[in-house]
Amino acid sequence: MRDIALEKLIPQRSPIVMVDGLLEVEAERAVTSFTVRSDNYFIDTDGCLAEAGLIEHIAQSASAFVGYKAVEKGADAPPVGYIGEVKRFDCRFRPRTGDRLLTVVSVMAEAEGVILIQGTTRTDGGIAAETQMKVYVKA
Amino acid sequence: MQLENNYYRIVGKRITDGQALFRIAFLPDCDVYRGHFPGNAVCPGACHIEMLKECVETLVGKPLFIRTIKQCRFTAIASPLVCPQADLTVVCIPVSDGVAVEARLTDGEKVYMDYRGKMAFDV
Repeated sequence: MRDIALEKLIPQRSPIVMVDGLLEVEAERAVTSFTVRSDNYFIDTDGCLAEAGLIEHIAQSASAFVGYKAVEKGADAPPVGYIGEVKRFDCRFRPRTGDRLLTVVSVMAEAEGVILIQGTTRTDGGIAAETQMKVYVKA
Repeated sequence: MQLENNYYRIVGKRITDGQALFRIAFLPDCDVYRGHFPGNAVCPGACHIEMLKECVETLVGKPLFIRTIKQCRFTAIASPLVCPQADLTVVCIPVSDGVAVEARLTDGEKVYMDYRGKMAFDV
């Protein structure tokens, strides 16, 4: 896969960037990473990443995947994605500051402007969260 | 981080039979809009979920952990410019180790979020 700067893959900018690497891309599957830092927007007072932070991370992982495909097709700017639905979200634990998240996003269905994905986020401690998500994509 | 008084402010709260209504003001100067998205302020759906958790915590008086979300639909795009205030209606039903939550974020007829899930007491 091509090495493309993350700012070209997702439209989000500081302080709400929740993906720091797109590691693998296949036709219907991608792997992303994110290291949780203490200055993250979704850090709770106990130093853990809030559940909503995991949701935003999975959404941006899908966005990076869609962005990669768009850049491959010649897009200049990454498409803007909006979460349309979160379904069957299951959170086992909140990652801590310093943890590295690895997330697998699998495309379950895709139509014009909508993508339905399954996302699973792991840390060294195992699966932190998994969910289905519908993301609206606007080029 | 605590989103109250950063991302939103509670400007009214009414609790009636088994239902709570929070009148929410979205704060357009919140830092999050620098990045979501530059030049196009859109309320992140994830922030609405975190806001809901904080509001439910004020109802149960304990820290909560979002254990599962059965379904959360975002049916309209909210932004602090087009939607400066909204109503968050919450119904909580006690379950063994937490609460089952049903919630809606609305502005008049317009529905922004429709949420069903379980929050556990965070121990």
